[in-house]
Amino acid sequence: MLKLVDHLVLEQQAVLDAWFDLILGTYSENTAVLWKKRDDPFANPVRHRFEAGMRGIVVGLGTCGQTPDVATFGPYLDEIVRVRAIQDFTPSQATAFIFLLKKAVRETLWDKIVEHELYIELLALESAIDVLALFAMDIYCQCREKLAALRIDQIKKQYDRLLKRANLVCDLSAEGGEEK
Amino acid sequence: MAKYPPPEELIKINYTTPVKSWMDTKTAFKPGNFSYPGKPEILKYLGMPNPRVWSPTDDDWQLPPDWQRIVMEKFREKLKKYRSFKIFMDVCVRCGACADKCHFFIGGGDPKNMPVLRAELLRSIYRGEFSAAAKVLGKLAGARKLEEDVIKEWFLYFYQCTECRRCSLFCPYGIDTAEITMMARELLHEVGCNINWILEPAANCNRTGNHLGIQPHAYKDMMDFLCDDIEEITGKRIRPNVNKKGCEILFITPSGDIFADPGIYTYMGYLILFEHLGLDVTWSTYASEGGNFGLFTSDKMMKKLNAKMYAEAERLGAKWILGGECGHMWRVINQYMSTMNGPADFLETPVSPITGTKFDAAAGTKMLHIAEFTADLIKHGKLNLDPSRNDNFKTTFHDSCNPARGMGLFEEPRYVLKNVCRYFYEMPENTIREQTFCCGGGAGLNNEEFTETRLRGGLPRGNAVKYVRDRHGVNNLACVCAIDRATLPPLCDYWAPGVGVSGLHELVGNAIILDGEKKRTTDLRQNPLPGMEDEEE
Ligand code: SF4
Ligand code: SF4
Repeated sequence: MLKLVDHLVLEQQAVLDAWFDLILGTYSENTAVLWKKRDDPFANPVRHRFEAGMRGIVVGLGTCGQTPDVATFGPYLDEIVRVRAIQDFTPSQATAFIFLLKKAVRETLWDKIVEHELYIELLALESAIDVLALFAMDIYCQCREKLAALRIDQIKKQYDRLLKRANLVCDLSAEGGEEK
Repeated sequence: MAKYPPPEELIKINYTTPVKSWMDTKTAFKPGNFSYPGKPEILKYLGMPNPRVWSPTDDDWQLPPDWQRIVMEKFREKLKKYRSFKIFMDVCVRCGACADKCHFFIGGGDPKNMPVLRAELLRSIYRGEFSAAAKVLGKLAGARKLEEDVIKEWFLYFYQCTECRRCSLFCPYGIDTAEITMMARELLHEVGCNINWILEPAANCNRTGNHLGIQPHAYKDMMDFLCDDIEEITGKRIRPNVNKKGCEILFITPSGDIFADPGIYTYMGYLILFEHLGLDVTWSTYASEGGNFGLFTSDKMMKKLNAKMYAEAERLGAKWILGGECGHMWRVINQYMSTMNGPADFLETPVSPITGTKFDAAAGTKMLHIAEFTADLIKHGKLNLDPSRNDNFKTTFHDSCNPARGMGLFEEPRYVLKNVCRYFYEMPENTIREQTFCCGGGAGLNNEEFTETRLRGGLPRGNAVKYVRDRHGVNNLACVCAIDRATLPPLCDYWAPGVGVSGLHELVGNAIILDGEKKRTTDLRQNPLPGMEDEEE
């Protein structure tokens, strides 16, 4: 008998479509229309990254067994989180997309779940999705930390040479002192 | 649907956005989406109106009491003075061809970053205040009144436009949103709403000749510092001419390259090239800035800062000007110079003293782009090059908005690049040349506080870089603009980690074999050359 995750993989396109619609619902209506329409990966990188990440996640859930691991899912989540981390969302809004997968699964696979009484498996799948949400939170924080680091870096780079020239800072690594 | 347990998480928080007309969506200022306002002392120095301490997050922006009249009068004046502006206000048919062509929209999804809506921010006031029908129909005709919230909205969104002109490429009517942004920014200047990152460099440039306010002796000092590095790497001491009268050529480049990493390596590249050729060229500590933030300030300031370069060429008695790798300098030169300060009859049409090539395309401005100059040298076999020194780089090329869309400079930098590097890969067709994507930091938005929005706007560029990184192992993004050299490194770091950024002439400098140089073991960044990893100093 087919398991829930098998149905998930078999009907991945329907799940992905439902999930994509839900995620685009977190953007303004005009934006969603345009992003749905254009599928050139370079003219519409948001859609491209989202689709790549979402497919990886759905297929991954179909094959990962009980507990999802960050090595498999990290890169896929990154495709999406990295974008939403700098799109003016709050942290919860930025990472909520992962919970929308639950809704997409329920909506798309409900008939199968009822027919084959896959309720326990549904609970397991939803728990796995919860774990992904935690991974997503980690990635979100990494992105924001990166952003802060890039800002500091820019300030440093702007004045670095001038400070060195004015002998206001010394470059220890160049003298080979401290680092070894 | 009610058959299954309701998803709690979704009931508690509604993540969808409410459907609202753009006019009813309030402008929200958050750290990261705006640039800091102009400091009062800078405004005073520049003689600009309404100097004060304020922040976009304040409720009260302390506009002058009669700000509406001021803005409307200026608006009217602009409509009269610039025919194109009036046409742009009138002819948009809202076909939407431009809607998803702006990098800020593509990366962020804020509808007000669709060029058509960005322009509509201004156009709605134009209709509401100037057109009779709309006065009656109001919102139905897409018209509205000038209120303080409108000023706030303008400030946010016209300082979220890098004036890159990508959108205008797709408009069947040739509507140039960059021009509209310029107009809007000028209206905002009238009531004292502007950003410091533009005004302070403009003020500095006016005072000392460059954006950072480096004085002549310090500038010379920095040059010597870079010559020390070159000597260490090549064993040759270069003694460049500075403020020297009677040289054939005056060389002008952005000041960003003399003190900021990685621009300094491009600067070293120029020095090595000129040494290699024995070129009769001088640098100037007064015209020590190619960039022209006057372009983002006012007509008057742009003209003045541009005129300074020509005045210096005349003072030094140069025959023509060679211009370095800069973005908007070339926009000013190509689009405005001849009507503003031309013709520069005291100069001659650039002729390469090495190859004899006469650059007729530069006959009007008397100023030649270094990529054209170097490409011509290579074509005539005048450079002694060892491209294998750049073998650690797998490089791609970013077309900077201004040289690309402003002057059609596509082939020369690529030709140079292919001759100094053995591994060159193009990014996808719809992200380069005319269709190039902005770095997200043009038009004065390359400041640190705006980084988040810059990264948002940088997604389309970063995505294309990531593609060639994954596909070809590209690890270097070459460009011909000083602002790019500041904005692309963080962009790559975020979207395509592992890809560095260099100027074109940094790579030229690596490849050139100087007469009598020592055996080089490192590149200009003092990283080991390929195969030299074990060599000790
Ligand atoms: S000029 Fe560039 S930044 Fe401005 S609206 Fe057009 S595409 Fe966007
Ligand atoms: S492409 Fe031109 S005419 Fe069409 S909406 Fe944009 S600005 Fe208006």
